[in-house]
Amino acid sequence: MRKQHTLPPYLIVVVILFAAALLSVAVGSVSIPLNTLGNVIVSALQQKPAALDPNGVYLKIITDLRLPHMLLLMLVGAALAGSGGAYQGLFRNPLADPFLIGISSGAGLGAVIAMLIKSPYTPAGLMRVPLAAFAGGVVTVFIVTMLARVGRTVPTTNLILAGVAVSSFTSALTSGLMIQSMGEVRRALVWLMGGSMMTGWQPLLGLLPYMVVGLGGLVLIGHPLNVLQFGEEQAAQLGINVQRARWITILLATLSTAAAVAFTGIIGFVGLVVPHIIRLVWGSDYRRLIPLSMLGGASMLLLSDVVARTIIAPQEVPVGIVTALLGAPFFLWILKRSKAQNYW
Amino acid sequence: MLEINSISAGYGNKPILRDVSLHLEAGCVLALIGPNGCGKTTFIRAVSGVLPLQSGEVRIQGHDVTRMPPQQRARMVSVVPQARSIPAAFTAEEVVAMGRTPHLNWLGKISAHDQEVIDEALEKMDLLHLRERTVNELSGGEQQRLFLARSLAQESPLLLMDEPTTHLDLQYQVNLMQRVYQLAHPLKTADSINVKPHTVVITLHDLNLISSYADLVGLMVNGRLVSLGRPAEVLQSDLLSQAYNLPLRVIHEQGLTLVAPGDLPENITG
Repeated sequence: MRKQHTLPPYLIVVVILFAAALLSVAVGSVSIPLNTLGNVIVSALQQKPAALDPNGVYLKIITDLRLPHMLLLMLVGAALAGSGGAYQGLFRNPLADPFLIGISSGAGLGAVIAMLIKSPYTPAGLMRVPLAAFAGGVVTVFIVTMLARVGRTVPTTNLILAGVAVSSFTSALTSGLMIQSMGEVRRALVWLMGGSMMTGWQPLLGLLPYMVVGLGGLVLIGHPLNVLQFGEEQAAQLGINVQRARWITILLATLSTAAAVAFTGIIGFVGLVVPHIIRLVWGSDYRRLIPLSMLGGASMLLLSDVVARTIIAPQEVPVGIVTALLGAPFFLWILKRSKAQNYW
Repeated sequence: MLEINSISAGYGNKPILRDVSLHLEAGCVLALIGPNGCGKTTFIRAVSGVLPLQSGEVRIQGHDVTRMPPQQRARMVSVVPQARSIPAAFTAEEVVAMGRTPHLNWLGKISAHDQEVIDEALEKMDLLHLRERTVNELSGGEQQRLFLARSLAQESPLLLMDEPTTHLDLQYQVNLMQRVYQLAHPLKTADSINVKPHTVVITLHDLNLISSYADLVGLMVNGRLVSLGRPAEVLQSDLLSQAYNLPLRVIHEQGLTLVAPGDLPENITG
């Protein structure tokens, strides 16, 4: 069972994540040199003033802005990639990405509806948007799978076509709603492209409960997803309660996606690219694929965000644009590859 | 061991399987034969619990399996499907380990005992040396043995096989049927004294393998079990000719019962 590789995969992705996290904290409108960053972190841990940061400016930038921003991105990246991996396992389809199959847009519609109803900027108030996004996402999954299903299978083309159609429909509704509320349009538009993230620690606290449930649950469903790779009938004959496993997977993956969308807008392709690379390198055992994808997704989003903040600095590009620029060509490559050889 | 009492099953309102009953003792191979569409696959699906029964009941060792939750049922009955439908990215050992699913919890953690069962199943099917290979690196015959090994890992007393020989060449067909026969009739050696014989129901198209490897034959026509008995009793030219709607003759040769088209070529052309 590829036992000989058990340690290295986690080690590799954690090292990458650590590097991405350092970069994410260091880079921005005010760049912090790495030696200063190290000095500030070490001193803060020892609760001493830092020699290279006499006024504590860097420390304030790090703790008030960069750190919560980094943690938010990590959770969102983990959620997108983890749920992407889970959808791919559930639909037995390498192109099932929460963005491509329309779940992100459905969640976005739910979130926009909730945003138009004013909520206070507190963790409790901020938790309403993800709930509405979750509802939007769940409804979308069912519409898309219903449209795409042929007998007992969900063919790739159908899934993507249904995803695109439903996604266009919900996006149109979302745009309509945003135009209705003129004042909010620009902010919401940027949000929708995965642009302006909410800052500070409050959003992080609002996001956390969903992520604990969603990501924690996804890590635990690897075994039933493995068995489901044989098809629903064989999975049932191997003792899996297929209906229950499907439901749990859909709810957990959609919860994670919806929470991510609610706090950072629609960021595509992370859920496609990361699980795919993990699968190519370390195989399709979902017990490992999902947690590795989460760590990888966190890294990818952090790095994309660094690019987004620096490429035309001082202006920031929405991070969703960066992931799309990276992910869309990747998507086409997978599409061509999966036609050429039916390796799935 | 297996009691099937007048089961009917099908899709929508149309019953495909009609009022089928049969009783099997432990340690026997039943070959199910019949023309395409006669209900053999529906029978396998109904007995394995994935197709709900419209009426009747299936009991294994006295337990009503159709009303069991999937996990409990999968400890009583396992299914060996046709090769070709294995996810290519898993290794042989991973596939066999999935057979332990009915004995594992939600997390699928493999215990030392589970690992023993997996190794034993791989060994029985001569797959130990291929355990690290991924499925797409295996031949058709090896894949079919892999499915059988997965079923063995389930440790279920009843094994259902749905046309396992269809995509195999003659060498692999015979090899597989020998293994199936041995599962139902384990050799009595000192270290296998506790090996419990499996009961096997296997659907087949090749009628000539039957007399060598099956204890009983069931002939199905239009969803009904029209004949059940020893190979020599069921493989009769009039019964088969009628079932397959084709003149067939039955040849008895050195203890084998063979079936061939009834008309000689010159009769057809003449």
